[in-house]
Amino acid sequence: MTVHAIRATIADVPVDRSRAGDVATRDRLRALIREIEARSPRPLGPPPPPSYVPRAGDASGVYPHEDQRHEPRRGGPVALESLPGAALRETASGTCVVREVRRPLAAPPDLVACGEAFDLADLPRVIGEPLARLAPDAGIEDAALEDLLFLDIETTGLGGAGAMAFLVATGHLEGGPAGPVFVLRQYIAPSPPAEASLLEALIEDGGIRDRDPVLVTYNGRMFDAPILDGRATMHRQRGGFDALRHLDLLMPARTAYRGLLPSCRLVEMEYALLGMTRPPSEASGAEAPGWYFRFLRTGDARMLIPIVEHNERDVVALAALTGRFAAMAAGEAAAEGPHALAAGRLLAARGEHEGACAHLERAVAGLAGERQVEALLRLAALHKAGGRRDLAAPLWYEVVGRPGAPALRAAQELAIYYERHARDPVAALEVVDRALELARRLARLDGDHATRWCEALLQRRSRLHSRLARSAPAH
Amino acid sequence: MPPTAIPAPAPAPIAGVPIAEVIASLRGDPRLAPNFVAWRTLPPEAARTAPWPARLDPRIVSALAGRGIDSPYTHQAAAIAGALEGRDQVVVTPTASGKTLCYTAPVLQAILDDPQARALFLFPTKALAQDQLNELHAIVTEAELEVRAFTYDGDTSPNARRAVRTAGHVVITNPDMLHTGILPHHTKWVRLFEHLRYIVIDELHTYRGVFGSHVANVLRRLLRICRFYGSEPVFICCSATIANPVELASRLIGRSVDLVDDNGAPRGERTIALYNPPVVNRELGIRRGVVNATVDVASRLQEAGAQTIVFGGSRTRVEELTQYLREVRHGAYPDAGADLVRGYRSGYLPHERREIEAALREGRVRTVVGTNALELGIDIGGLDAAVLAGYPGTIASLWQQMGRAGRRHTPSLAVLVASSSPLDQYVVAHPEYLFGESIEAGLIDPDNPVVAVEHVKCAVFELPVEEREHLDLGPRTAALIEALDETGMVHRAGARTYWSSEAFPAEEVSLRRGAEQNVVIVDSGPPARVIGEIDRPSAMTLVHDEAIYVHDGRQYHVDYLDWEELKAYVRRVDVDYYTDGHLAVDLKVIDEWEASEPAPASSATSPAALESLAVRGHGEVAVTYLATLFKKIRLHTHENIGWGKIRLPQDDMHTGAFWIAFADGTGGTSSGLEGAADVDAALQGVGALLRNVAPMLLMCDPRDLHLATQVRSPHTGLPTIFLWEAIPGGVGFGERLYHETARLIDIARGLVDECGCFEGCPGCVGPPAAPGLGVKAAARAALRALAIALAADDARTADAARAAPAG
Repeated sequence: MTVHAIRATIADVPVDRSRAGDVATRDRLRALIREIEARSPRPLGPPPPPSYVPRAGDASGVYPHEDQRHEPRRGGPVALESLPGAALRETASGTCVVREVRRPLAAPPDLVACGEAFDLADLPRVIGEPLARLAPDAGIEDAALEDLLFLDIETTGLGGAGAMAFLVATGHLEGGPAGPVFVLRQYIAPSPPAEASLLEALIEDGGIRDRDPVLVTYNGRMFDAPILDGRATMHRQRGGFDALRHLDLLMPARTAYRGLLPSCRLVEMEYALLGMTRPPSEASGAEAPGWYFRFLRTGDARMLIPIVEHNERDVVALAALTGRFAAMAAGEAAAEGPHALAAGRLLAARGEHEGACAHLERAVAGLAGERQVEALLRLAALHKAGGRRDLAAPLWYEVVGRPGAPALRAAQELAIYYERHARDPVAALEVVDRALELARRLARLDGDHATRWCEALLQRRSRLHSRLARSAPAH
Repeated sequence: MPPTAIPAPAPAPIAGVPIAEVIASLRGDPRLAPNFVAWRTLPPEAARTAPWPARLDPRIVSALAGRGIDSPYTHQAAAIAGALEGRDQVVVTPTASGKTLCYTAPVLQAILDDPQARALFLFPTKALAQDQLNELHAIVTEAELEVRAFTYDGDTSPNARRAVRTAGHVVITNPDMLHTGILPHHTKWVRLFEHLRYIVIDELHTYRGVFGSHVANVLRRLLRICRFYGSEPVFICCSATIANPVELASRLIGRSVDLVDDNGAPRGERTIALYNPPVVNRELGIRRGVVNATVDVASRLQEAGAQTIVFGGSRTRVEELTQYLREVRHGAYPDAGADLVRGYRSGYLPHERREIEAALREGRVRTVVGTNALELGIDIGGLDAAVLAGYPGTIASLWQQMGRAGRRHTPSLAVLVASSSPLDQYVVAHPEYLFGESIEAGLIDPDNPVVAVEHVKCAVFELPVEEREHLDLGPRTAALIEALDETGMVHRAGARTYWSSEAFPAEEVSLRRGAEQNVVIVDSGPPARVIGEIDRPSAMTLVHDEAIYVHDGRQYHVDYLDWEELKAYVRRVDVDYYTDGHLAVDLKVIDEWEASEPAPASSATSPAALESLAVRGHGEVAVTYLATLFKKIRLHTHENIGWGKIRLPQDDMHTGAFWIAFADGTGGTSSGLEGAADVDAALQGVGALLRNVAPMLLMCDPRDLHLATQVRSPHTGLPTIFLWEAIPGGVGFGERLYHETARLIDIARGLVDECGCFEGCPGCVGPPAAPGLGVKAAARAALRALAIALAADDARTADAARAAPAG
């Protein structure tokens, strides 16, 4: 019997398909999948803290003066639309829930002071040119106050077609009789299919396709905007978020604060720049999917409160930070210490030399150690770029005396200055000798890099020696 | 010399090496001639062409004419016409018959008709994708067409990705990238999916076994996404010769396909020879080693100036052959140095491979020594001769490798040099086994629940699954979704199922078995540079501390293997030995999921019940790999000149297995094995037979299953055969074999009873390791005993079932 003959007999009998009945197959599959699950544990959000019983009013707790609190309900599940400020919203593609909260820009000083509320009073002042300094994108300087659309989304995963946006917060400013007010809206999908309706409402209210708003986000270039467009595609809608004018505040935040803070996450920025901390009841963004899936299973809106609160706070914090950053870029705020260095970095990156210098001088005065060295070098670089090496020289000289690798770079600049500009080869030689000593010491720690410095320095030294030798007879 | 250095000026390739004279000289050589056990000559075939299909744009026709193609071969004309008419097809023709044209012509036509049109090309490897891109660029440039083609794989830079997604007419990728990089992000590929006209699957025959079953599911997902965006692509598949291309293609794409196999490409006369190395020690029956024997043959071809490909089988062998062949005089090129002979295998960096391929096409490299990486359609042109150091294990691979020799108009030669393994010795003793029609089939089972469930997860992630779509994703989808719902991974709302987990399911399943992790090999320099990479399991025996690692014939001493960082630091040396690491493989049962109970002693009254002590089971096993020691072996003489310990932690893999144990003859039981002269050999024989049969039952590739035998297994305490799954974690084969043991045994008995061999052959219990062991007879007796035992088990189970309700 050939292999083929045997295969032919096998092919006629659908062995494993007919043998096991449907029920048996399902039973086996259940066991199977449990086993698969055990093999690759899937990351779910952490379970809710056992003692935490959310109160229905928590979500609006940030602004107690706008009191819309409901009495906490006991018993059955709480419907989404009964959250404070929330209402059902009918759209062509279904029903979603939209929550709206209005507040004046200025928060009561006592609440700001104790970290209960964000102050947005800076916003109207920074519109236009200061705001445009934060991002290289065209068209931001023309934006009117009402054009800004602050936006933050919560998703069930970090990417891919299976990660849905179930909660989107927007914030915009509207004129009112007592000055502009901040309008916060949250769009919530009560179920996965309702995401279509959420997007429809969001696109309509935000004027995404007809009013040309300026999107303001934190990491929205990479995350929020492309995800919303992708979600719209999934529901056969047209998005358009990615094409909007876009101020992604993460970019200037990184320019200014990289290395100065433990991270450039929004909460870190809030704490460092505004002194705000998140309440313990609030969920983190990473926990968002877990809460949403719990809500889907129970239908109880209280499961969503920690994340609604988080999302609301993210977008308000974003607005407050935008004001603070723009004020910094405008050189308004007299920043101190690391903030002065941050402001100096930001302004230097935007080509604002004068403002940058002022900040960096304050940074030099107010900082010590590595950060002071950075401020010195940056300041020196600005002077050098402005054609004032004579102002840079004392700064380089200062750095040459410091431990570590930056001293080598400063020594090189200083040697060039002495050799070519001050025409003082003796001083140049002195700097080179000092740098060589340092480079040899460093070479023991970090071979390659310092060795290359040594070579360059030795070359420069021999050139200086021969120059001195040539000029010696003239003396 | 670093591989990037500019090679010495190339000697002009010799046109038309007289292969007939080479053959005559081999046949006349008193030293070699007696060892050729068979010669076959396949007559030349003349070209048969057909007119271009009328619909083909004149610009394409003239561009092809510019590349020397005036009219298509019959199979090309048929395939192009079929594709233009929208028929799904599989093209099966030999290597170098111009398969590429079968799909490039209709794809270019579609783009000329509609500049929005898109095509997706799938190749099993990145190297092939790159090759295809160059080919396509050449035609597009010639025709001055506005067609943009890109590769999209792990090497594509993040900046280029956006352009590929929106602007690429032709996207060339691999199934793995489609699975993790494209389908889960389909919203970024709207242009591609809205206008997808053709899906090209080249090297179709590589998609078999578990890998093929995964790919079939990826294609189910792909077609569902296409439907979502409103496109209905046509498939053009190309395959090397296998027994069942139409069946494989239609199972893979889930549609019926037309076969195009009327090969019109011309072919020069081909001579095929089988070479069995001479016996060098009469008393022990030892033959000259396969490496040296291959050098004996290949060096003669090299001296005659024939451009030759040598298949080395393993990486180590490739390097050994490369070194030896470099020492051989090149008659035609006395001064050209080492660049005339090049190695080529996985682990060489891409740019090095490209360089070797180009040098082969241009004739600068005269001999290339490769592993089966060169079996696939990498464009290296036709060569004069192929020499295979050992039988590659399957007839399909044998023909693929031999097919690398063969120009369109001149004669060619292919020689199989047998090793001393029983398998090789069998095939050279039975040439009809190779020349018969018994080429292997490509089998897949896309509905394997363990495979399918992963893709149902991915599908739900990609787009909520409607109830009416269940069958599009396979017959088991409904049950799988129910099970997934219970675990909370998906959320059912009415007739639709949504993804409800944070996980990214495509990342959780790899389409291929085997390690993803590679060890990077760093030449410490100066300057330090990466010279290659090697998969983690192989690294244990090839780049351990103190190993001599050979790369393109150059020796490197491994100073330090950093197992945590997966880096091996090596230094160029010139020594007269190489190292051979020993890997101890062990199998342990971790968890027994089900097992048949031996008959209780009290009921052991009938002879049948006495024999029913055979124990079978299935469960999870741990297969451990421990690199223990290495030998230093002198080049050429192969004498052992020292050894050392390898200090590496053991690697282990958990997977599924099926086992069956045999009574050991105690207590009046009989398994049939006692009659064998050598129980271990008999156990091996039964195991080999079951392993030959099981893939047909499981619809998998033979390489998806491994065999292990234990004369006294710690788990069963009896002589035991294990069939374990090559895929980490397993895909349920062990369980299926357990539940279908009777059928497995039945088929195995049918096969061994009707097999015409005397003492065993590769098709049944395996070729005999030595004559007179009686393996085949013992296997037949053991299988008979097993069949009786299983019948008795069944009867007992039925009795118990009848008794239970009454009691």
